[in-house]
Amino acid sequence: MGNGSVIERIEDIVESVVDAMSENRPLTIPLRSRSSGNELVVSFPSNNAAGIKKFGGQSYVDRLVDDLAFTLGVGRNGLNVVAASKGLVAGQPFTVEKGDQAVAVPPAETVVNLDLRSVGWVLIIEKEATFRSLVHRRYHENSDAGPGILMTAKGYPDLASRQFIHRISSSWTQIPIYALMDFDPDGVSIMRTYKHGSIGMRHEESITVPGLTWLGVKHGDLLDLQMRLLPLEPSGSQESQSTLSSSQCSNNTSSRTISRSMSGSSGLGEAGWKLLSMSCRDRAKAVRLLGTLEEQHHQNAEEMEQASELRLMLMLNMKFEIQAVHEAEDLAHWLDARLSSIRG
Amino acid sequence: MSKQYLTAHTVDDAHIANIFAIAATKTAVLSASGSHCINVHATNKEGYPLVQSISNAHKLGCHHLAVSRDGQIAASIGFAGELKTWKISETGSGDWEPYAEVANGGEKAGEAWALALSEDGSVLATTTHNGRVNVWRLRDGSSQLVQQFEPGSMATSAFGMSVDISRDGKYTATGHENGAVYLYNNETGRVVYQLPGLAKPVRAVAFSPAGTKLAAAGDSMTVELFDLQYGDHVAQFTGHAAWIMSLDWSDTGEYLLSGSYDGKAKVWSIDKQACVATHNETEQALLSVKWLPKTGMNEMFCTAGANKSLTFYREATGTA
Repeated sequence: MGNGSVIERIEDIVESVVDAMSENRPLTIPLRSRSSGNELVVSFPSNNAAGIKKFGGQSYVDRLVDDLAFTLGVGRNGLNVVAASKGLVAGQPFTVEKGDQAVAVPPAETVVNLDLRSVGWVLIIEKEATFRSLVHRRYHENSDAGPGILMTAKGYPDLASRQFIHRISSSWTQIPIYALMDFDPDGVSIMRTYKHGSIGMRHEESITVPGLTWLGVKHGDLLDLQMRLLPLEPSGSQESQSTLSSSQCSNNTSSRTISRSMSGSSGLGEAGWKLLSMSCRDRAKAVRLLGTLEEQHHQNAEEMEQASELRLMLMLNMKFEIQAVHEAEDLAHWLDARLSSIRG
Repeated sequence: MSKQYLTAHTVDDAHIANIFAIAATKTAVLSASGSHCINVHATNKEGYPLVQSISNAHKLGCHHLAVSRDGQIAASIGFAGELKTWKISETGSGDWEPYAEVANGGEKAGEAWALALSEDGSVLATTTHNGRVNVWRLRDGSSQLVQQFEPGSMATSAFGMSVDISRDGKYTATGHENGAVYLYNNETGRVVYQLPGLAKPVRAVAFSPAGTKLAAAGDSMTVELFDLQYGDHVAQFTGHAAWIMSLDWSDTGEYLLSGSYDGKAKVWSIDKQACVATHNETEQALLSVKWLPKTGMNEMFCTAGANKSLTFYREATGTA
């Protein structure tokens, strides 16, 4: 939708305000809520102080901008509101002069002008620390799968990061895009946000990446990693490594953790991989996601896999987090093997 | 002396999703998976045919399933937290149908987790995410909560991952995520023993048929054996190279069957305190292993898990 029609719609609203004033009616502006899709009528002067708040902070402004965009039936871009991205990207087309530093995710519009012919793959990484480890190791340059692009939006992706990755996927359709997420419900949810979008952002166009491939970590990797990183020792000798604490599950903020350092003699940093037990919040989130997936009438193979992994997380009551790694050798090797098996 | 077991039959793709639990009666194996149905395969018929599929048993899939030894009562818990019980139809059809409502099965995530039934199906025990144990009496289509073991300390409040009831229904044993193993008296409601823990999640606990021993196993990759007369730790079986997900005693109490996350099933001799058979039909996780109640000359067991299949093994005739 062009800016012209946005202006038309704004003019319609202003017209109705002018009409109301000339006819001495109360002023109202219909604002549609993204969560319900219903029209909220904002009246002036409002007796309801809660109806109109002062701009409280960035998240409030963001919400208003998104509601306004939704009301006008356009994306944020249609309002010429562009937020700076929290995302980071690394790879040859984005390399700054001084070397391998990651740069902020550029505006999506610039991607069409970029030459990505030398790029063989894009890897979206959930955690910034993991991303930085791989950038430090220059994985985007020396991967067995050839040069590629590494990207992170530091958890749940912001709009600019999603627009950016969508633009790559639509402009350079032959470049496969992979997601490396933790083995936990948030990992699945973040991957799905990139792939399918989020419910609150349905009015935004051009932000999903339906072709995104979930690289891992999946339940099958646990065994692989357990085998690789936990050399068999006589029973009992590992118990000294266990740290153990527990608390009531009813408290969402304190997750029960039984963390076991899985670093063996393989050289992976102490905090490289972490097996944790699921918190109550994790379990509730997994069940909610399962419910969402089961509501679909025709689950495709990918959705069945997502549901299957969520059930195994619940069954094992375990999640697997990829932490910061100083020497990302094992992670890089694992990625090399994973990328080559998936690319055939 | 090792024992020989042969693959008697494999029901490929018995479910469309991972099989999380199986339970055996004298004539059938019930299985529960990530799909909404509980399937019943006949074990007394050629080819182990599917004889009943209870559809919409659990909307989000089912993670635990148990059947009473008399084969009359079953119970299952779904991923949405719902607890259901089933009984063999009185019409004589041999089909399973809904039985008693169990209140407070809970809709909350993980509210009810593992479960076990006594031999005659009159006692049902469930664990919860915060380590509580609920014991119900099932009778004539109704249920009554008869015991509730509350976590007494921080240690016991850890996730109750596994539970078993002694055949006579008198005792309940639980295995917890923090490695703790407890034995409760269902009549007095007291803790009988807090057994030496495994320090890692205990994914399976099982009473011996006579109720004199308890086996526990999990992420320690070992099977621990306790004598229940004085609560002594009497044996440790080593040999698994991955988390042990499931345990079951043979009818005679001579053998223990274990299944692990790397797809291996092992048979342990209690007498010899040694592994007498290892089977490795799949590299995918085994999530449930069960002996079939002995009906013929040969012992049989069934394994299931991430390969979505049911694999039946039969003891080879003659000695190796």
